[in-house]
Amino acid sequence: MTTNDEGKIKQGTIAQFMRKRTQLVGFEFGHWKHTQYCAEFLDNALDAIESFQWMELNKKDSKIMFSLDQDLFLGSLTILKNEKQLEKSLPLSNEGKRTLMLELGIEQFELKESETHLIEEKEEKSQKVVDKKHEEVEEEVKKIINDLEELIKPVEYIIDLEPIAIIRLSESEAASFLTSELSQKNIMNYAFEIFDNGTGMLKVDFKKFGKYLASSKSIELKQTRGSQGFGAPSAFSDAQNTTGRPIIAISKSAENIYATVSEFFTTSKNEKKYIVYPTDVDCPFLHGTYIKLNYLNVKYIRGYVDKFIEETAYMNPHITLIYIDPNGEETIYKRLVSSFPKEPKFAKPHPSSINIGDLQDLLAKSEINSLSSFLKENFVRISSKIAQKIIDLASKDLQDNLNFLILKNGFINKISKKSDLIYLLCYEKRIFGKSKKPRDKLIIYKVDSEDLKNKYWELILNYNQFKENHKKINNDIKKFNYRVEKSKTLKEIKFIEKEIKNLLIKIDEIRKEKEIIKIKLEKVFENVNEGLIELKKIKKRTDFEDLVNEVEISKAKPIDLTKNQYNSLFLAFKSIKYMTPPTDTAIPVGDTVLENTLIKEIGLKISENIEDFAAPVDDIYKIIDIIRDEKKNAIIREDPTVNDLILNKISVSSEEIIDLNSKILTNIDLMDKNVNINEFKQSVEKILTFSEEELKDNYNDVFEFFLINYTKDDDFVSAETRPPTSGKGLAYVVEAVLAYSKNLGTPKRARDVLSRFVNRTPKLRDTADCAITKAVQSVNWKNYKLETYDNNLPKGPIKLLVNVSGPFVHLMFKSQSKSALADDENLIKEIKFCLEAIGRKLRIFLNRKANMYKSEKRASLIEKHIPQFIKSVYNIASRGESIYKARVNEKELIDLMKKAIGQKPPSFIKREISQEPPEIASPKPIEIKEEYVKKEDLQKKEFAVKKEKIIPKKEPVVKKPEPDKEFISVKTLNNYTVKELKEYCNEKKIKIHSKITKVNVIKKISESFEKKSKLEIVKEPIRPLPVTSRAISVKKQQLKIAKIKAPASTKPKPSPKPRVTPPKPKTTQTQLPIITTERILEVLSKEEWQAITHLIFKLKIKDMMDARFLQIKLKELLRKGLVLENTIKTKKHWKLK
Amino acid sequence: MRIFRKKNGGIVQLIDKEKMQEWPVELPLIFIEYIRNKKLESYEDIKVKKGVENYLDEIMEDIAIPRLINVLEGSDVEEIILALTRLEQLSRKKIEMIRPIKSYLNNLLKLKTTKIVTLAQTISDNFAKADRKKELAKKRKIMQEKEKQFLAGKIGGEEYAKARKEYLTLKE
Amino acid sequence: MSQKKPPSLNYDLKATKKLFNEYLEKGRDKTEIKLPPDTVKIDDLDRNKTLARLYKLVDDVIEKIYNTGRPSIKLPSRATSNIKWDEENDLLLLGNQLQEKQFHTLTSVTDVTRLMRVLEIVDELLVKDIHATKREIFYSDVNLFVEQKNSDKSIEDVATMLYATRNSTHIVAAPKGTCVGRLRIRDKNDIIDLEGLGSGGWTISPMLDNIEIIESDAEFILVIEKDAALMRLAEARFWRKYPCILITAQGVGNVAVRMFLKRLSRELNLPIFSLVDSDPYGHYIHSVYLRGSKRLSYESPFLATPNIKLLGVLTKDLDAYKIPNEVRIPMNKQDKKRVKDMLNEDFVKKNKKWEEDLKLALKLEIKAEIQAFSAHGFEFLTEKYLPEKLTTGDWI
Repeated sequence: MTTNDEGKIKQGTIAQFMRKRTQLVGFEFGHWKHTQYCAEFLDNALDAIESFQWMELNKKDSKIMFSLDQDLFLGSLTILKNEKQLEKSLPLSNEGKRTLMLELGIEQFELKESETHLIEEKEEKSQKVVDKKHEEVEEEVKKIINDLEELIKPVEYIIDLEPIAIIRLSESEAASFLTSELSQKNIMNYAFEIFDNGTGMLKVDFKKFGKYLASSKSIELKQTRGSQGFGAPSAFSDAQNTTGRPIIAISKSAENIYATVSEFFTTSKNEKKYIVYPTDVDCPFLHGTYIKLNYLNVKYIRGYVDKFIEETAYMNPHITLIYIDPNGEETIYKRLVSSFPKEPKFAKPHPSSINIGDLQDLLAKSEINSLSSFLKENFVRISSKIAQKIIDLASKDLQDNLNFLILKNGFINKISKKSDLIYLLCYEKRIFGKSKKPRDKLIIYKVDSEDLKNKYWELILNYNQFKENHKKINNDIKKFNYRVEKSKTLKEIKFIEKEIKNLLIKIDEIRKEKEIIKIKLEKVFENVNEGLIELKKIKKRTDFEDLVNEVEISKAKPIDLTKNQYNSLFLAFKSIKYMTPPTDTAIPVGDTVLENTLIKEIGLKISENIEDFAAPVDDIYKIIDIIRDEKKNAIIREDPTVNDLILNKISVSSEEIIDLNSKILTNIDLMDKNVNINEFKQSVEKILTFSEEELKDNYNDVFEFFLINYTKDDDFVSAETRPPTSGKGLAYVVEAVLAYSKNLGTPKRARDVLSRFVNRTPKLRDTADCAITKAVQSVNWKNYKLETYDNNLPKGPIKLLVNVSGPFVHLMFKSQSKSALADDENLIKEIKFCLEAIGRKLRIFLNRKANMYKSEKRASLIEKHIPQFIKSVYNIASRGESIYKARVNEKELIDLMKKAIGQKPPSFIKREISQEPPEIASPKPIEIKEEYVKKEDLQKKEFAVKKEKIIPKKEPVVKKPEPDKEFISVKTLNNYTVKELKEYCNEKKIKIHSKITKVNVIKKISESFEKKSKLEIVKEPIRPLPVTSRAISVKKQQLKIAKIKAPASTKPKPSPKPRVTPPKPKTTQTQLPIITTERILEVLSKEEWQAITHLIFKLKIKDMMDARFLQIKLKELLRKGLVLENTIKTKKHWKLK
Repeated sequence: MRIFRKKNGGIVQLIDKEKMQEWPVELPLIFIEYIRNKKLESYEDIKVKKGVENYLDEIMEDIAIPRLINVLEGSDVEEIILALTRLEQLSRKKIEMIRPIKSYLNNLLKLKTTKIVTLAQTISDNFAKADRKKELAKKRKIMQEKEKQFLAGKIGGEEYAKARKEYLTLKE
Repeated sequence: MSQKKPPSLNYDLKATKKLFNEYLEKGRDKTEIKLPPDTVKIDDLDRNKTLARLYKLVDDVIEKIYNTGRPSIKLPSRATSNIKWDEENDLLLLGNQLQEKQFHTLTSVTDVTRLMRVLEIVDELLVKDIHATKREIFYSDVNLFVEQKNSDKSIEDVATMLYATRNSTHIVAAPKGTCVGRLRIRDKNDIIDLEGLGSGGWTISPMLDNIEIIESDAEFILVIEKDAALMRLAEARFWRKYPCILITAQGVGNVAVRMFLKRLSRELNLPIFSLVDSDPYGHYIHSVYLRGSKRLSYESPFLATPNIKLLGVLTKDLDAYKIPNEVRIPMNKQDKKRVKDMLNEDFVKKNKKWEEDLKLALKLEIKAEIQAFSAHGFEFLTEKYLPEKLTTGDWI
């Protein structure tokens, strides 16, 4: 009942408001409620863990930091299992309840007697703290600790070493009075427990925990998951509203010895009513928090919480997540990387993103004295120079408003009418007041002399004139700004912006003019003594003093800025163009981390060492040099006096190369089961048989061989992290990762392809109207060989994760439920560019796969026809008088033809073979007799069609100009779209007309390469023909089939120009341990031998593949003679040479 | 083809005899017989008819008989058998066609292969039968003429009786 | 020469006889056909020669397998670009552009396998000295050939590959077309008289090497487009009155018919006339007899009868013989296009009369069928139209 004096509007607390409206934050009944609980607390847990680690990292020698280096052998957790045995031991107290449970078919563990009794009692009690008997509290605490330990036991041994978050959701027994509600809407009572070994809460914070705190983060934004501070409190209120159960919380920060445990209710007056008052208790973990609460919700089904946790794991590979769902299923997401991401700095607000209200708050709160240091302190991108500029501008504006100008050594007021009085103030050395020493005293003069007044008035007139123009221009700018918002076409916007720029320039000029006038004013009143009347006793003195204080804004203290000062400060504040905000406040996950996480999480098959293969072109040279050196040394050792002539005549034969190469290749024990060793060696031998002078593109055959055999059924994963940018004054970074693999299967619903993340937390709801989805839809996926669902999301066996992280996102959430980002043009463009970069890589991957598939299909189709073909050939040959009649046998022929598949046919030049039809023995003239009736004519007219000697046409040797080894071969060129090719052309200044088709662009580009190579000697076109070993059969000789002429002369091949490999994309490497030769050499020491295990430890290698790679590198170093090796106790050890 | 011109500009063309060399041995005979019995009449033009007839005889002498002869005299048993079987068939239907080879039959009878002997025998029997029949036909014709003359009263009774007797004796 | 038939205007077909004499003259000094140098020489081989070539070809294939494991087959390409018109002999011939079909290529692996299969069948036919039609070849390996179209293509390829006519590979066209009239032929051991076979006439057998012309007293050969028209003539015993040989092939003559006609023309040297509907299709049929078709261009020397004359029904005949309007059919757009196409064919340009007739048809834009003459009574065709034109020599 509100009394009149309180007035109608009652000031309700935020808690009161939110308690009833938890659905605002996503706690309404429904499957999503489970996720909402989990999301809320998991966010806070991960934030806590990260802040703990970062805090420790900042400390010099923190001993309790997460070590992250030993491998996680969690094996299968047995949380749930022993939990079940425990349950058996608990006595079942209440018959009625148990029947209900059986009825519902839920296997339940029984609530303690005390707990149920306790709840009834609470109902009637008032809000005051309940003083209960001590043992009851003791009992309750014991039970809570019991729950906690049970959850943590399996991971106890690593609880302080490994960052872990455990979530358990289980069906708990509903309080009796709720049964009515339970039965109709298949609503169940769920117990939600979460533990994290993050920073834990200080005791004092622990008290506030659960209350609605207007989150302090709204101004000082940081890239954290939780943001608005409504999360936990609303969860608590929902939990209490639906189950009437208290919330249990245990927390311990590293500093205190004991954890504090408490069980409480939050009240609508935003206070806490304790069942168990926060008491100290010791607990198994050094630092962390455990929360347990119960809530009612619809039956748990999969696809919500488990999906949320799975996706969280994708983005947070540095933390182990363990989730036990109500059906008892346990999923463990092990930590996959061995380092934490960098800590994002607090994003001090960027001036352009501050509105007038925020500035006022900041000013009111700040304890800093000087205005400029206040500006520097509270805002980013404000250096002292810029602060000075702001203050200067503010003071100018202030002087105008106060009509009180600051002169070099004094002040003067600005009158609007000629008749007003002009006052001049300046500080002069006077003795006044108590002290004897002359001190500056503010002296006020009245300007009397007409001449001064006229001069003054003249100057002031055009000063005011300028002021007017200034105001007018400001209005124009306002009008233009307004039009910019409304204008549609880009052209219009650009035009208006140009206008505004000119106006701003005009304003600067006006300011300069005003300054000039001021200087003139100063000159006028400089060392003028008559015509000024000092006003000693004057009532308005204090007004003037205030005026002086007010106008000198630079001296003013931020806390007590007057309204005028504030307005001009804000105006100045807004009119300066600031640098874009720093981007160290937005920390991406990093593309290599994303890729590795996806590879390990989904189990993609990526063959590791493709990159290494591309490099060692020169290695082959090196091998040749090594062999030559060895030979040289051998000769020198025999007789040192041998002359150089013989030395440099040493040549290396291909056998030697093969031996060395195969020695190297054999001792790389191929891990891959399906590649049989000898096939690999044999094909390599075949390719490496050529000795030194052979063309180097045979090397590419080896590379291609590797590609085909190793990466045939590889999956594809590629991540792209965009350089951080900023919006609304706050930085953000966009990154995405796409995995393409057959065993992923094409999801039926478009929703399952895309997973959206903001600051590493998965966003499952409101997918349709989120900016990320719009950005993905704006990409033309057909361009990258992906079909699309009808809402233009990419369709295929893919998984696409998009993460936008950075403080900026906090401003961009569409609703409190924080599940969709508002549309921001730049954000969408950023995401689009990121996806397109990945798309290009995907396209190359898919093209290569398509080619491989095509050649395979080609091979299989051909192979299918061989038996049938050979059967026909065999039947004819064996039936008739073919010269091969005896020798021909089906099996041999089939094998010969099968072997020939895939081999590049020896490049025959297409020739026009003369028209000689294959004739039997001697070419018998064939008559077309024309019979005629007269008998005697027959003998005479032996008309014969003489066999004309058809002169074989000159063999047109098709000249195939050997195109210069262009940088990018045509094959890769047509991997790019026309747009990209055009860009390349402009880059390389190759003339192309705008509507050119793709084929012509490629032709133009390859021509441009050829033109460059014209100056060299034109290369001999014909490749040497593999001379058929069998002697040309007699039959062919006799039948005068035009012999295939051996090429006139094989000119010596110019030395092959090493193909310049296109620049390898620079991988922005984060902490992942990369085994480079330098790092290995660093780690090796000169004196003591080190075994492989030491090296692995020092190099922080976690992954077996990396270890294997280390071995290979060590061998290489040994070969290069940089390292010594010997085996101690059967283990190999290495030492620096 | 061999061309014969009719007065009214029409023509008749017959196959050159050289082409018949490759024919099966008995086919020329059939051809000759066919043209002579079936086609000759339709030519109407006397000159053409005469020309064709001469040509047919030519074929008989130059092609048909010589081929038959050298086959029969040849050593190739199958060919002989083949020829004889064809000849035997002909002898049953158109004995006249194969009259020229009659003289060669008897030295065939001397050969060893029974098949040849039997065939040759049957053919010569047919010849004999045919001669007799011809004889008989001749006799009957004479008899009939005589009968007409006798009825017309030009000749006496006994001349007619003699002819009639000869015919009857041959008939048995 | 008395005619048994009731006295009626008798025509002595003077012009036809004159033409025959001309042929005899021309026939005598028939020089050998000189083929232009750049065309492929196709031979009509007998069994053994074809077999020999076949084995030669297979040997080459086997040798290639031993050498490189990658066999290929070379054959004259039958693309339209490779078809040349021999002006002098007015024949469509095959140029000597060669096409190489590699086994190890996606496009031609199936073709080469089919070729080799057909070769195997041809080998069997020749060895056993039997014939087979294209349909039988198709059914011998249906899942390889999949469609008759493919086996037909391979059959033609095989023929060109062996530089031989298709006939020499013992693969014959299906019997289609009948012949009746004053002609006697020998088929293996029996003699067939084409007059005595009733109105159905003799179905032209594709196995021409068994056929030999032994006697004929015909004075000309008449090729008729539709067998309905032939029936009309047969019923009227046309060849009795005017000694001739009638042939029909129901539309464009297939290989068997044209080969038979070629044999008649070569052996009997009689003048040949074609009686077709007066429409572009009819003229096309005539042109196929005249100079061969594009598809079988390489066999033109063995199939074309260059001296065939177009007797009827000419466009001018429609007025000359006062064919009533309601019987005339207006030309549709497609007909006009075909007439225009024919007009710019070189063999039409060469023949002024033919060009005029086509131009007239284009002007009048009408066409008519042979049966149109029955408007003047059923005997008009056999009593008046044909004899008169044959006598006056009114042909192109």
